[in-house]
Amino acid sequence: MERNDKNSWQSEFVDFISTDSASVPPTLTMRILGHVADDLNPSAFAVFRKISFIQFLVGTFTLLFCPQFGISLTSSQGLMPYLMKFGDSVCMLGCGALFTGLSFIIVSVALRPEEIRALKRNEVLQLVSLAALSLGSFVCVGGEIVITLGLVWALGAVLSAAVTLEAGWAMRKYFARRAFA
Amino acid sequence: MLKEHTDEELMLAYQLGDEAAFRELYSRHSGKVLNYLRSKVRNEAKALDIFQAAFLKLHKFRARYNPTLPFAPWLFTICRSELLDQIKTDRRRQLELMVAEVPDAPFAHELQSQEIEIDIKQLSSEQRQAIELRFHRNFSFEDIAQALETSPSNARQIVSRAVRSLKGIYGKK
Repeated sequence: MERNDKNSWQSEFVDFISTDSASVPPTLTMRILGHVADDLNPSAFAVFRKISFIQFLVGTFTLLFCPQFGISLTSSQGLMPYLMKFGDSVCMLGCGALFTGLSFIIVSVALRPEEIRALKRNEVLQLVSLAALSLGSFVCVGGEIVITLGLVWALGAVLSAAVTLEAGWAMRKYFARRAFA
Repeated sequence: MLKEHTDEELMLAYQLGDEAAFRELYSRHSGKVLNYLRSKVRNEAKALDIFQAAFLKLHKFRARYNPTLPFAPWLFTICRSELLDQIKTDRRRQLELMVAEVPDAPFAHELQSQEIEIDIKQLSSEQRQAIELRFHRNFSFEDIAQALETSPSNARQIVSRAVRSLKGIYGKK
């Protein structure tokens, strides 16, 4: 049996196709299916850790042009004056949306498909937890948060993350199918 | 519902993280794969090992599959490649065993430290038989002598000559 022998490959393939089906020992089947199931169903916590890390990096980046609760990486006010024209609530909604929206564009591309599926299985819990973690982090670094506006910010963050994730995942599936169409 | 899908559609779903798609593919093809491997490997335990390795490899490299191409040849290629790897590994182990039998430290060390392949078919039929009996079936020299209808000392010489020939073949490579 030589690896590069095309005729040998073909004749063996014909044998393979025409061979009968044997019954596979159930323990072996369980082992293989179990391995695949474990790999295709990552834990919610592992996924949360990953999205938190991405959120930390991208969220920090957004502070360059969109201060959050008085915290900024630059001395400029960035987008805040434009958003404030529409009022406090709209500004908070927009800031929250921007803060997580950009991260979830990255999340929808960087995570493995099975991780995105795991994320979507308990999406509300994950996104609310992420928003709460972000608000907590802002408090820790000296952010000035008013509860009502903080809730509006969290609403913007959760909605934006959910929409961007859905859109990114839909595009990813579309391109995967299109690539092979 | 998945039963209506083609293998290629299932592979695409599996690539997108759908575990049920893999289960369906496994139920369709596992029996055939195992029977094929059993026909190539006489040892049942080894056939099962290769079977498991093949499906784990399929899982590991699922993203490399192109769903516009038929699935069966891809699956077969993975099984065959695992089978060939196993055969190579077995050959290497046998050779290492042979070398260990003939104390010749520098050569043995060099041989064991490198990944080599030696074609035992290049030996004479008597030498091949002697090697088979000695190293694959663990026969004593007395038993080999009986099988080859010769004396034990001659059997020892045949084995020794065969190992020397293998060393010579290796030396040329």
